[in-house]
Amino acid sequence: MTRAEIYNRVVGILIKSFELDPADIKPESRLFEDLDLDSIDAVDMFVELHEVTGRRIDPAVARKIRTVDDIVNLVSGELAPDAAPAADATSDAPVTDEPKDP
Amino acid sequence: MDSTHTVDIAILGGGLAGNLLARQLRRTLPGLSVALYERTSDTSWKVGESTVELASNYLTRRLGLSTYLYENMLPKNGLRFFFDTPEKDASLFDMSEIGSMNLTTYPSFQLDRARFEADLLRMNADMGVDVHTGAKVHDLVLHEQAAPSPHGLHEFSVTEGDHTYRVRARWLVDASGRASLIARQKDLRVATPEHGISAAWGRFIKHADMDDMGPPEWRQRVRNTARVLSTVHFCYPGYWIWFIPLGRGVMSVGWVGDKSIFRDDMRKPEGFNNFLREHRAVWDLLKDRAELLDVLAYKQLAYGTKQFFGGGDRWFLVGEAAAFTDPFYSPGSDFIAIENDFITDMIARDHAGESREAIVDRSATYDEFMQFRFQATLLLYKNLYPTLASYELLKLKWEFDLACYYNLWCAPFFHDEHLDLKTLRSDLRRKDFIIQGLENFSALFQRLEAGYRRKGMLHRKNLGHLTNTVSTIGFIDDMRTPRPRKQVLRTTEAIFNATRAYALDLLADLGETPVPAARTLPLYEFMLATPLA
Repeated sequence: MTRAEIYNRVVGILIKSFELDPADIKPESRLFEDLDLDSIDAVDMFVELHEVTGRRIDPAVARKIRTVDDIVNLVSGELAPDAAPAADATSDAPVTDEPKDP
Repeated sequence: MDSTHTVDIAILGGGLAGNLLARQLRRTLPGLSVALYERTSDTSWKVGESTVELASNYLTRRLGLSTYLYENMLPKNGLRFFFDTPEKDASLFDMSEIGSMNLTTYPSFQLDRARFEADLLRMNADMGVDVHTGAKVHDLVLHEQAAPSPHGLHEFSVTEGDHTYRVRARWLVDASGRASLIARQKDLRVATPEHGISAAWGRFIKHADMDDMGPPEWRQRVRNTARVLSTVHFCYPGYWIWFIPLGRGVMSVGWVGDKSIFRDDMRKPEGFNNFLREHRAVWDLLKDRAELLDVLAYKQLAYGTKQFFGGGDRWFLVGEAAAFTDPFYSPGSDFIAIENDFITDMIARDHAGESREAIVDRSATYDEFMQFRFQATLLLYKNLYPTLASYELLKLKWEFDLACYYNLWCAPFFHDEHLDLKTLRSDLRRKDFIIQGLENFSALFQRLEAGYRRKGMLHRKNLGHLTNTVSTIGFIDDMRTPRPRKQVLRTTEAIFNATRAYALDLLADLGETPVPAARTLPLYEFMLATPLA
């Protein structure tokens, strides 16, 4: 999947699972503050993401998710052919918006 | 070979599982003929006397047995736990205690299985079930899509005395207990070496009455409610001893524990009594005046199955013919309740003409749910028997387990959500996350036990303490009506945080600093593959 495809997939999940207005969802939208998701919604989101990636969600990466783009980064990282599942696990650097080629 | 009989539904086994299913089928599908074949002629005494809330809901709501149970069996006063010194010499009245001081919010019962099953056989015969006792089933041939029989029905032989006949049935249910006719024939049994526990048990008469002994204050502290009506657990490192009243002066007493503690002489009355005698409070209730009527034992209690239901091929396993986990929280009849609901539903749909593909699909989902429930139940016990040593640690674990039981298992059953395929599939999508959450708590409990053992703290509060409330189950009144899924998950989050907060206090006592230090966590953090503290 290209980054654009992943983004569309993530937006699709957010719309379907949480009945969000597509117009409200932008890459920089903050999940909790802007989209009004809560800790319970986050479980449903991880269930959906798990089904997309087929991998266990890396806890260290999961904890740092704040925006829609962070989710796209997580998914693209996990779908990368040689990505170690814990690629960002030990880094304290914030999740960046740098696109990652699949 | 004398003749061939044909019946719609054949149930192999007339114990608890088979009898309850026969009753349910007659009530739900009166147009179908049901025959039940029980190997023994007399209903014998069996363990598995305690029911918990899910099974009791099934018995009362689904099977209409409420009045029968209150008139003929004992109402149960929840679970009760007592704790001892390392020397096992505490008096009952000095022991720390976890247990209720009022009858539980949702009903549950103590069953005298021999009487109950004899009554069920008679009631089932009265309802039109073709009941055969002293009937040995053999030469079973399943009719399956992969190996069809010419007549399109399952077939088996029955020998009653010197009379043998063939039976053909459209639907076949194996309720034969550990004999497990279908599971053995189809090689479905799965060993569970990861949970190696054994059990030995017996029935006593002339034992002492726990509710008529000890200082008045000890009885008053539970408002003179009946401790005897509880499933009483005397807890020790790696094992526990139960007292369950069967009524009419009979008390079931059993030992369950790590296989390494099991002694072969516990299979015999003298060895069993000698073992019990090593525990002062237990022996004070029995002493030499109590008479042991019988004793039985199993070296390996738990086992699983590769498959519970072959819905597309019209065969089903129920109760111990399928699987067993551990008796600590009495889950056996809960499994029977859910399985019987699933089986009845699949037979009803098949009978109504639903397609084989739809039944196959449903059967697979029901099977996945049973495997989920089996896995989650085993996690309650696996590697956690050492925590039984400590009042503090079992209090932590009990409050967690009880709240999860009500929230995740009882409430959905009370409102038949388990029979709604859409809800069930939605729950199963979260299965791996729930299991991960339960594994995380199991690891936390194990870590606490190891720390407590290392520092010699396991027994420090085993005398003089009492807990009669459970702080984590404030939501149970809400369970009278169906709760939105989000509310269930919010409750899960609250239970997880309350349990973790209590665990953090215990870790602090050990001098360990938790990471993350936050007092509360969002629900998803509990369900990731990472330690909780």
